[in-house]
Amino acid sequence: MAATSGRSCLQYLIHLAQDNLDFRLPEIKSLLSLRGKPFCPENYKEKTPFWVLGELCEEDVRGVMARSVCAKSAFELWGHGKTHCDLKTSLLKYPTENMSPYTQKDSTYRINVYTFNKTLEFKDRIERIDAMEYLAFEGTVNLKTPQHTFCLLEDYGTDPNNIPDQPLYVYFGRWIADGQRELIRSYSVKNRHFIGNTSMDAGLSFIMANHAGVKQNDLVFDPFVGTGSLLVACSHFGAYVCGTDIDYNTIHGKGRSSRKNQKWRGPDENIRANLRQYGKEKAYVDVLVSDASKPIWRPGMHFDAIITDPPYGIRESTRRTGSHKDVTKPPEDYFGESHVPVSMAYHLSDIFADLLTFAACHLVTGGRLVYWLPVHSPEYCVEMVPVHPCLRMISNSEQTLSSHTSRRLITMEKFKEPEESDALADMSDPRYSPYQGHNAFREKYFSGVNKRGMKEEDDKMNVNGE
Amino acid sequence: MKLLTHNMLTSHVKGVTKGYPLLIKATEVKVNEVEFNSQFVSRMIPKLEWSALVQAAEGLGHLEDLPAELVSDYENNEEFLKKVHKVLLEVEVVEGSLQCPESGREFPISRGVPNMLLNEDEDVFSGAFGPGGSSSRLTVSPRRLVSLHPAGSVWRWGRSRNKVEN
Repeated sequence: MAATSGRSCLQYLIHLAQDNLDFRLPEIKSLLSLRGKPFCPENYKEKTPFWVLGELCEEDVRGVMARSVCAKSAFELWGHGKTHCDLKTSLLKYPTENMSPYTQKDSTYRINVYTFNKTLEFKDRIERIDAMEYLAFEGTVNLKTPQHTFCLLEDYGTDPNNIPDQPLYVYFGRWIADGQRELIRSYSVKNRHFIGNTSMDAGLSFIMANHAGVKQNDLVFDPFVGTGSLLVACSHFGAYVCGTDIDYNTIHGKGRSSRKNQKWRGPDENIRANLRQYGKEKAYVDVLVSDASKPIWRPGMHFDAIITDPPYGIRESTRRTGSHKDVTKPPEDYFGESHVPVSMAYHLSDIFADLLTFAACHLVTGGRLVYWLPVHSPEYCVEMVPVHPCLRMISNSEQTLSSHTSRRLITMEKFKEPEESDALADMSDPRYSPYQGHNAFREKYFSGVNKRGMKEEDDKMNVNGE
Repeated sequence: MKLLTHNMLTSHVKGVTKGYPLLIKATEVKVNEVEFNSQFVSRMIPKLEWSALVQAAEGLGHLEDLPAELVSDYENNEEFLKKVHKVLLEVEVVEGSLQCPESGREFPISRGVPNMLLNEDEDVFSGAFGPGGSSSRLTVSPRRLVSLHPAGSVWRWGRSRNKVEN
């Protein structure tokens, strides 16, 4: 294209989904860094649905959108302003040579109107489109299969109880690509062959894979694999996956089903079948029964990413595995199937200390560890997040679970190989002392809530997770 | 269990210093066709302990003419990569066990899944620790471990535990 030379300093508008707000920035940053590109926003507010990014080319934007589950769509920004008047001024200033490849006579196009926090009637939307006649579109309108799609976006703020008459901000641009929101539906655990009570929902699994910067042909490991939801997400992005879990029955797909109308797990309920369901069986390396705290991998064995949801001691099993007789338990055991039936002696703080040490030993340099850290929100402070001398903190995003608990998605990157002194350093780090209190997370989780309250919260967790 | 995994695993029985590679005792081996991806195989080769792979493949009767020494310039040698691909990702041990070369401890493989769990009193075998000497945290109770194994009687570590306890 002749115009390509002048198109390097274009701006791009990214429209983000207004949920999981905390996870959006690390995702977009991580996806940009996979392409070696910086995050250069303009007039940027993190919690708004529209971000304007510079210093990119269209290929970068397409690459990000091919991975992002937080972004809905991306546009080449042609103009923007606080009012339609400002937008017009801005659009008329936009270089014609940037527009002309898309406004040719022999082309077809359509214009969409998108409003955030307000619904416009059909006639109002037509009015908006008609008002844009100052743009020199010479092509023919084709609503079904246009060659080029343009979009007028109006932002009415984020307060649903106080919607202004006029938009706070308007944008106009050429649509480039949609994000991968569709994956949330198509990979929904509702239709997954093999699930457990703590299967990570599809959206968050993809977010984790994106935070981890999982790439084609990576080897990814999950030490608390459970039913393999995180591996499914990683395999979608072309990674080869393996995992371990201490629960023999989960790995072999035995025991009680997590589905409402199904008592026992059927044959072939396993992680391999889950990958097969999405056409990714080739990505299956292996799943083992093993204790995550034990060194079963030879020294020097490096994974490209470690991505996991460790057990928090909340929804893990109180029952013994083995014979079916043991499995029938009173209803109070509604937490049911576990991540890992660790004994109470495996404290949470030890789980995380082991996990970080493991990551420091078994990640490639530059590889990332992504995991969930449950916290009792009233006393959370950033010092509670475990540190390791070989791992650099990349992001720390919160998902609220209840009034007093939340979990934080922690992303760390390994920047050096551990030396002997590091092994001692991490244990003597002062951060570890306050973190010991974390052992009591389970008690705090249940503090002051009755059974009923707990149940509601548990349901809420599932809703959040869906 | 694929041979890629076998290549990465080591014995973690307490006191063992030469736990690699694990010996494969297979009673059922299967070859599953897996889509060939030359880039992934090329990426994995430098991560491998080549001699351990050759030894394991030979033991299972699926050597595929792999050379004892890794060839150079393998990235562009598709024929070679395909052989490695088959050995790494297509040959699978379905039933059998992995044996620690030093302590002789066996880790059972059933339905393709190795069970790497160690019993709490495993250190009896290393001789370095007494039955009560295990200072590390327990992750599973010994009773649980026995119940975990589908055929408890095959689990000979269960018996030794009883001996210790009695």
